[in-house]
Amino acid sequence: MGKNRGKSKLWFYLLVCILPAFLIYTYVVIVPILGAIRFSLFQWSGGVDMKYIGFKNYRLLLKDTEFWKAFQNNVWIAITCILGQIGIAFFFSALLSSRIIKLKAFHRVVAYFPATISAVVVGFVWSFIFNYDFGLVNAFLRAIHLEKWAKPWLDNPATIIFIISIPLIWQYIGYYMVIIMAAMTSIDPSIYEMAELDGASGLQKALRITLPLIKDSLAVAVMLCIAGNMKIFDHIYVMTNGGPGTSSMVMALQVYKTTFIKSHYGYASAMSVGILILSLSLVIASRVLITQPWRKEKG
Amino acid sequence: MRKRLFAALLTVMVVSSLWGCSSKPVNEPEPATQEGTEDAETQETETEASGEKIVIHLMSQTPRSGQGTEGFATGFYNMLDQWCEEHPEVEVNLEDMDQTSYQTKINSVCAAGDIPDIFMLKGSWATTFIDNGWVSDLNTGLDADPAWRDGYIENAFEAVTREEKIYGIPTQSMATGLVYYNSQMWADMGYETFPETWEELLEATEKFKAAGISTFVLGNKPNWPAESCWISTLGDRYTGADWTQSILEGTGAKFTDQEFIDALTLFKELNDKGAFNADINSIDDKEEDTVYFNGKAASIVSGTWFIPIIETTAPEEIKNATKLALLPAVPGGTDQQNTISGGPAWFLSVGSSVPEEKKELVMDLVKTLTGKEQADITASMGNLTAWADPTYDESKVSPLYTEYNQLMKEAKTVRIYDACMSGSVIETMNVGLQSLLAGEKTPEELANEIQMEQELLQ
Repeated sequence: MGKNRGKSKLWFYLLVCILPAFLIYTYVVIVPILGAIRFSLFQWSGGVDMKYIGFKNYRLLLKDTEFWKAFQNNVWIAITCILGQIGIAFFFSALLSSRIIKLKAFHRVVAYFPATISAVVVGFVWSFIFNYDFGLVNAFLRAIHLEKWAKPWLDNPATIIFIISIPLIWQYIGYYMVIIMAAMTSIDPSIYEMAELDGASGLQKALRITLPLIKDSLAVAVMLCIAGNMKIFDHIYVMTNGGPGTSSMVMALQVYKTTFIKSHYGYASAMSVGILILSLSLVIASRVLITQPWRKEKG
Repeated sequence: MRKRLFAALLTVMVVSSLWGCSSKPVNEPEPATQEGTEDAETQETETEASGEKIVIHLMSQTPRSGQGTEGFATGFYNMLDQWCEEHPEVEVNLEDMDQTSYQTKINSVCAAGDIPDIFMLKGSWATTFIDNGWVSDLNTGLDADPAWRDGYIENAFEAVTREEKIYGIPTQSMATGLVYYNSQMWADMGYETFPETWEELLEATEKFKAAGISTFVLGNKPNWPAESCWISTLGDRYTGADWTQSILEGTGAKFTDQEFIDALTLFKELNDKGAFNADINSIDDKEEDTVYFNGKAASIVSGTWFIPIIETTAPEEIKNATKLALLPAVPGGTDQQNTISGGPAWFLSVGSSVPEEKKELVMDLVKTLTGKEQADITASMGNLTAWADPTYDESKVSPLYTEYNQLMKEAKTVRIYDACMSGSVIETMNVGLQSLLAGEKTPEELANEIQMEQELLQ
């Protein structure tokens, strides 16, 4: 009896501790989502005049080619960033855990720096780097007499998605490096010693030992990467504003424009709900693909 | 036992920290600031608590930092300061910010029902704001003072008038499609004046291209310059003013009409012929100025806001060489080719939630901020006003300003698209123009898209 009471008391304290966080989370995340779902059922330009139109906004959304194009852009950016951010981060982490690199702590800190800078600043800096007249890239190309390669980088609709992914990749390498390095340090060094005794090369060690052993952390990194890139906004708003035309338009920017420039609040809410569903399903899909739960049963 | 103690301790900490948070404002009231710009919300709560002063909430898209250097900001804020001195019983709660932030903020506060007493309204928002009942009509106040009402330029209230009710007072006026050209560079190519026909312009483009110079620089990254500075004028040269009126009233005109497509085609061709800078969609409306100042472009089509910028920031030789012109006549256009897009774009409006007892004060402030005195100060600093006949010393303003006034005597003003058409149509047009310039869309496709957006409104 006394034990039970102690337990229920502990539960009580735990609840009290969780409550503030739970309330804040509900207020800033759950309630707005429910609000967006409600607004998405109305034709609404922001005022008192709200007209209930059922699921019409969603039907429009399914046919809205601009929205699906923006989603496609998001997916491209996500793929580029998964390969770029996590790939390069993995490479750097492997280097940093090898013996050839000196000043490891210093490199780790410096690599993380860009992740602490505001996205708007990063966007501005990189739009200067890509500037046609005085940008760093073109200045360099001109200096080595490759004028022909100097291009208005942010003006070509065909390549713009990859160009704007570069700052994103650059900024978050350090972030994923921290995750991957944390996972790497948890691998028992004796495994590597054994492999070395068996004559494994550095590359073999990285691909055959490290990679499979940090799979779970990689899954988390990929999930974060997808979730982060589905809501990407600031970089693109600053660098291209979605342009030229809609070539670099992403879903979040489109929602912003639909809301505050076109004043279609109801439709924009439907778009937000669409983004939520799409991001969640992508995140879940990536999780399932990487962890492959069906394979465990066989083993 | 230890766990329980720990949990209890945590609880105490959490509860006490919450307690601390909530009691903070009561315990440490922040020092009262004057009608400054910093923190509107704190001020509001304070004055309400003290219950002495009447608070007027004013929101503006003109940063106060421009007071003393920029014409309109000086006129507007000097008058505000003066009014505040005369009305010590009133506290004006000012929120000023740049245009881009303002657009987002004013739309959200109004949607949330927290409408400021006085705020700036852009002509193209008028329909949304009026239909939602966020602004009140000002007819009574205007009719009470005919000298004020009739002091403005022709059609000054057009963009904010619905069924003879006026919902805003023009604060300034502008022309958007003005050609600024470097007469030295054009003379070097053999042109004493700016071309008057389109063929001549295309010919000149060839020559400039050969010399590695852009005929025009356009910074269309923010996507409004192509539409506001170019298409508003070029469009009208083909369609005529009646078409624009018909679009606004929804009485038959369509964006898919051949005349409008012709205008888009002409603009696209000019770009295809290499008249513009290569990075047209990736530099903005400020970077374009630099390109012109560096002599990398022979001309720039911009608004009247560019006059003071030239005056203060252009290198001496560029400043002296810059002259003004209208865009050349377009082939196959209407008879009226001396047109330029212009008119008032921003209006001062009164929120619909202003209580009766405050209304008189609010109207008085609006009158002060938009009246002749404001116009005189603004004009004296070389900025355009919506006031028809401001008094200013011609010798003290930029020669370009005087040249502009001369030029406008010969020219006819036509509507600026983004100052009158609905925000969603304009956004579709702006984004589409970028695609047009990037070669992703044909003029017909763009026209179709804009028309589809237009039909959604009706």
